[in-house]
Amino acid sequence: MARPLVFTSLLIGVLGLFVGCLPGDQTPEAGTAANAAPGLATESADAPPAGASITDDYRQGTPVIGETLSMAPYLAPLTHEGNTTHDVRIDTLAVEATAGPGIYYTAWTFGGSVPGPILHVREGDRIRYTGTNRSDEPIHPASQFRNNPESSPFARRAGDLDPVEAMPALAPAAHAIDFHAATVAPDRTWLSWAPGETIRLEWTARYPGVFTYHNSMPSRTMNTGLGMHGVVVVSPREGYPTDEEVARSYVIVRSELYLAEAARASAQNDTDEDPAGATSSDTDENTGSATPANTGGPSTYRWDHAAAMAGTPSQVVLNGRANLLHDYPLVASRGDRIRLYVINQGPVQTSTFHITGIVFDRIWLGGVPANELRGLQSVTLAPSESAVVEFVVPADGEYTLLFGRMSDENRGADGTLVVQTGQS
Amino acid sequence: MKAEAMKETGMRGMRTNRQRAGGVAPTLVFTSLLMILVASGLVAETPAEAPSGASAETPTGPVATDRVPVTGGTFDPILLVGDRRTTTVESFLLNRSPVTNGEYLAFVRANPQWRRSEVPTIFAGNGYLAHWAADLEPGSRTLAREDAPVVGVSWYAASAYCRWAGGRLPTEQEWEYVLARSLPEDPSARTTAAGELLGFYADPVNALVELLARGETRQPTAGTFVLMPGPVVEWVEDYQATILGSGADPTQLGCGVSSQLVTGRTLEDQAGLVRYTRRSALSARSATSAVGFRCAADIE
Repeated sequence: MARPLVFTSLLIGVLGLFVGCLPGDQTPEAGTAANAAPGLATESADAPPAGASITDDYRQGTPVIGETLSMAPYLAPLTHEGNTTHDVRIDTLAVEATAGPGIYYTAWTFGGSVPGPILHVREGDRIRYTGTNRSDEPIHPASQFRNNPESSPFARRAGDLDPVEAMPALAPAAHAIDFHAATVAPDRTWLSWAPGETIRLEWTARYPGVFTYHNSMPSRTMNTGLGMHGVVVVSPREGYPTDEEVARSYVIVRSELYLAEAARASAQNDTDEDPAGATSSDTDENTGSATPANTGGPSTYRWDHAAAMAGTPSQVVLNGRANLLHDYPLVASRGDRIRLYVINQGPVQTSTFHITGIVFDRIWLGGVPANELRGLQSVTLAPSESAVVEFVVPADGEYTLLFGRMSDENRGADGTLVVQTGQS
Repeated sequence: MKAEAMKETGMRGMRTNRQRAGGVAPTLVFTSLLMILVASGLVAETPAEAPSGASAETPTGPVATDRVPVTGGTFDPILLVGDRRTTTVESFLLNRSPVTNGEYLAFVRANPQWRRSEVPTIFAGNGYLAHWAADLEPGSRTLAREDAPVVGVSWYAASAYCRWAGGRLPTEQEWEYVLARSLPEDPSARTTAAGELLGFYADPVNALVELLARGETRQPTAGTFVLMPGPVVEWVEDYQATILGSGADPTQLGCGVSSQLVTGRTLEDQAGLVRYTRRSALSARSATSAVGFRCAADIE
């Protein structure tokens, strides 16, 4: 403790040196047309400074805000002409989710759902992202969405879209976000932020396609396996050639879970329904913090890292839960041209997508118009890879959506497309 | 310390500037943090001197005096130290158990400025003792049980407690040294334990509740120390030793960068990587329900 004044002065001097390194003080990215590859999006000369800011201004409320955010399998429509700036909030939080019948686990999420919200933008749009790390706060997403008009329009319909509601949970950890659709300096933009902190960052969607976003903190495998992934659909500036003919669009996200049953002993007999204060006793409808119907006990399944390293998932799921797309099938009408935005979030396995009874008429690898293929029976996607596929449904019936690895059989990596004439 | 070196907040800077205990940059940051604490009167300059405005009694009774001598030695920490892997830890004393809610209650009774409704928010964030019923009443929730490890305490609070109790926080290396020696020696059992630890880190609050329900927080299930390993991240004196500056974060380990820091590929290494980054991504005022602490002391 000697010489406090000297130390304090030294500290001030040292902090002064840091000021020059903080994000936001860097020279603004000033791209020029000359730097851009021909035919691809160019950087704007008036782009704001790169980097992210992290603040302590804690805020409660709905975890998902943005006009073009939606829950899989739905894609929010773009109603603007040309380009715009999207203000998007996707908070990070833990929930008790279900991987399949009777299988509950503590999921790490963007926005309270697995997969996280689907963001739809147009090539050239700017995205201003805000996220508060609420992994130490008990949140009941469906209540937030239903009761808070600030929520994304599709999130407000969450009660219809996701009948098995996620319950509050706590899993405090620092998080990070990495939008693969963005071209930024990652060490200045994809920063981590601790529970209670809020990050703000911006990026421009310079390339069309279907891109993952995820938590880049270690362990990436664990974060993704626990549900912390989402999708940005960047629609091409000029669209796809078949835009006028597409009747319906859906988003399909494949992912793996590595869960093992957690040891449970007297925990089951614990009469304390709310051991960590994970459920709020505040029934104020306006704050959306009503106590959910079943608080239950501790989650029954837990992350199995050894299985993840070996690549042997306990479940492989479409849109976050085994059998979800069987229980709630996609629908179409005979003769419809269907467009699917398909992505494999891994985290480990490569997989092949096929629909029984269907040949894909058009395939755009990565969702990029220039990467067009025709007439394939299947598309193979490694983790983070994506495709936009289109096909015409020939007849009434039930078609099976398959991400096929024979070892995935019976683990949930399939769904149903129900086709009926005149389906609305 | 050169301006260029201080500006190296990227990976390269962290590796070359990272020092073990006694390193200049982290010591400077922490000394200055402690200066802030001292200047605010919240922490006594010496353990015997009571903070201003508090009673002068020194702790007795529920405060843990059950300190275990740890014999110093060398070990391989999870993260590289520059180009060196092996590091040396001097002998020291470490609490057998994490500080409990009962012990922490004695602390806030004697030090009103650390009560939940009194503490300045710059020293403790939103989650400070969030699961307690009131300032001086932990209440009936499982995590608030008298014998449960106290969680929802900031680094400032933990430091203040340890000083009040006549000790200090352990250093990162001291703590990791004890953890490494608390895992089973048998490689297969060690791997299983590391896998269980990763499961804890994925679901720390539920894991802690389960351990409390099974009575595994009173006695060590193996080894000497209680909840070592455990689901709770524990504060150490230099928890930010892997970070040099504010804002830009050298532990920003985006996809695939971690191989620069961790040479091993075992589950123990991977659990360590999650633990290091989780711990060093906290701020000194972070008070979450998966962070607690235990105290250490120098051997007189």
